[in-house]
Amino acid sequence: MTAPDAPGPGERTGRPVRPGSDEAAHTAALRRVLAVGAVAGLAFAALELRPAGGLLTGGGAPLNDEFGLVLLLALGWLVLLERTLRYYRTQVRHLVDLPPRAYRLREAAMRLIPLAAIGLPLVLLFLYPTAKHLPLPPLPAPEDSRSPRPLPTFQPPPPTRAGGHGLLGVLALGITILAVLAVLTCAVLVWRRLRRLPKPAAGHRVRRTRTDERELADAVASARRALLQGEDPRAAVIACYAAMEDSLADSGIERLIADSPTDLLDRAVTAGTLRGTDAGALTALFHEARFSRHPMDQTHLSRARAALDAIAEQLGEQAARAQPQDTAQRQDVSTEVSP
Amino acid sequence: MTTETLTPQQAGQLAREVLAEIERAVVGKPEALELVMLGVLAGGHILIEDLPGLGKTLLARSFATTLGLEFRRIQFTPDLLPSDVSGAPFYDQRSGEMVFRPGPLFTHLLLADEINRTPPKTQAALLEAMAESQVSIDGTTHRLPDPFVVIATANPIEYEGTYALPEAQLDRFLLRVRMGYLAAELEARMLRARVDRAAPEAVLRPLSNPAQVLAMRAALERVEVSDDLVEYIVALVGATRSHPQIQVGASPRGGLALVQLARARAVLDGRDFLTPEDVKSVAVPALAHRVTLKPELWVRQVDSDDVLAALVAQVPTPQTVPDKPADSLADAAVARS
Repeated sequence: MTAPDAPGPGERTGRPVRPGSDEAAHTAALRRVLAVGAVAGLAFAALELRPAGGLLTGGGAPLNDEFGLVLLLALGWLVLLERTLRYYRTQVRHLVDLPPRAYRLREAAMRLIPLAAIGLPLVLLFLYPTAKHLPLPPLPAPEDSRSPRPLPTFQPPPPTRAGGHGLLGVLALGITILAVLAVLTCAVLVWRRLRRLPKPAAGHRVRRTRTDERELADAVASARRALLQGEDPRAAVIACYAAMEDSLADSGIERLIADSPTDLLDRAVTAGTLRGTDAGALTALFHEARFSRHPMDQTHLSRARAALDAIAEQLGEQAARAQPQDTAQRQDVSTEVSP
Repeated sequence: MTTETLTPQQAGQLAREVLAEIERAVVGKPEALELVMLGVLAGGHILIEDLPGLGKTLLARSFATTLGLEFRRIQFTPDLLPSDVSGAPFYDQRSGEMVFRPGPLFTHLLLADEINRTPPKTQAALLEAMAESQVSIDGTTHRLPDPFVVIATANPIEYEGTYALPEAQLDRFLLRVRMGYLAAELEARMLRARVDRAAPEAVLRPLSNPAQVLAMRAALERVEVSDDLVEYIVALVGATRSHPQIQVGASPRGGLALVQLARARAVLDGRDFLTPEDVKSVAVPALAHRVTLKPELWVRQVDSDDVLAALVAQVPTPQTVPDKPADSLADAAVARS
């Protein structure tokens, strides 16, 4: 007997009882059993189909003696896995707060997919020539005397490899070597791409510097307007820094969500976009305007103007230096293009 | 005891002079020295955790000398008793009464060397002293000198014969400092300095005294902290509690430690207002020893410093343009002036 106040099975654990949970678990277990049974059945059927064949026996499958098709399959496998990994990366790249198990799974997938992409075609290519592409023995004829027609007898195919050393054989060997080299080259290229090896990017730096200067000059102009028009020095300094931050973002140096002003300007200085002293002065003014309650007056305003003037002068010098280089580059390009 | 008042700028100037003097003896460790100075300014206790021979004891002694503080050292051993630390009453034959004899705890700066070599009972003798600057023995409470700073050292690689500090005691430390090996160039400079001075250690000048240390601490209270930065600190501490790799997050005491250390950083820079950089620069030393990682991370040898550094790189800092209009800030400034 159960006492009236005795808790039920679900109440003892403190967890709510979900209707149908036992049934769902039973269905999941049944699915697993069915999947294992299907795989085991297929394996058994394959073994029974050719009991005399070894593991590496080519048998009479469609791929027998079709090395080109094997190569195509290997290349297709490479491309497929490369696409899969690219898609997977785009899906999981930005996931940062993963639980440890998911984190380990992601790391394992990142390493195993490239290995599978490269390893399986290589194994296939190395095993294919060593496999015994021998004709299988004829299937036993059914003992059915009622059949009026005689069963067709098995005719072994003519040997494809003559074993001679003629020109055709050498040509075939050369084509095979070339094909293997092509697959290996593809494998190396795919591996480099998957491992994200750096590639030299010529001309990127010059073009980007020019963009930075133009955008920063716009930002300096807008910040000056803010300083001139603004009656509140605090708001003017903040607006000036915000304009500079926007321009840096446009030029590729974005403010990350957890960046402090110093972090952002360190990156800009490292990239050569801004000079440390002027940027530091402007950052210090921004700090004071944004995070303190100091009364801000014309002194702060004049210091902000001085920092902006210094930055504008620096950008002007950089633009003047960059202009002859651009002209020279354009002349080089026109010389190359003209006959 | 505070006889003088210092502005944050004056306190920062004095602190920088003290650091410059200590750097004559402790070569090549400016970050570690700054962090210890921040701990002293913020009125907390410092745990230095690193390998033997990296200058932990020298650092503590140099601070005591330069700050003009009374210095004592306890070498923690497995057979050390709580009364060896805090003191014990003894019978005075002349007066016929039990008289309290203070232990080495009664000093300004205490170096608790290799604190994880002593059993938890003796470690716990420090708890009340570190938290409340007092010792209760036989029902009597004895105040410790002011300022009272504990600089404890711990060796992180030995497990045999050591007792890991419990979380409650780790939480008492304001920050944890790691010293690390010197770079080759700095190590060469350290050896050259040793050869040139022809003496085991540099002789340091006292540049301060206990009253000035208290005045420097009082200057911290004049450092402004904007509401945005308070929210940022709360977000940082809250993130440790919801991080998937952290089992136990930082306590509210961790948030208080972060505020005070960030203010000390501002003072050291000669400012009287806090910036996000101040908070970010001390977040890992202030919080990393207060969190407990999940067990699977121990197997992967992931350090809490790494987890906290990644966390700091994810929590949003205050935005550039404040939600509150600039006019209200100016009004507040006028009202304050």
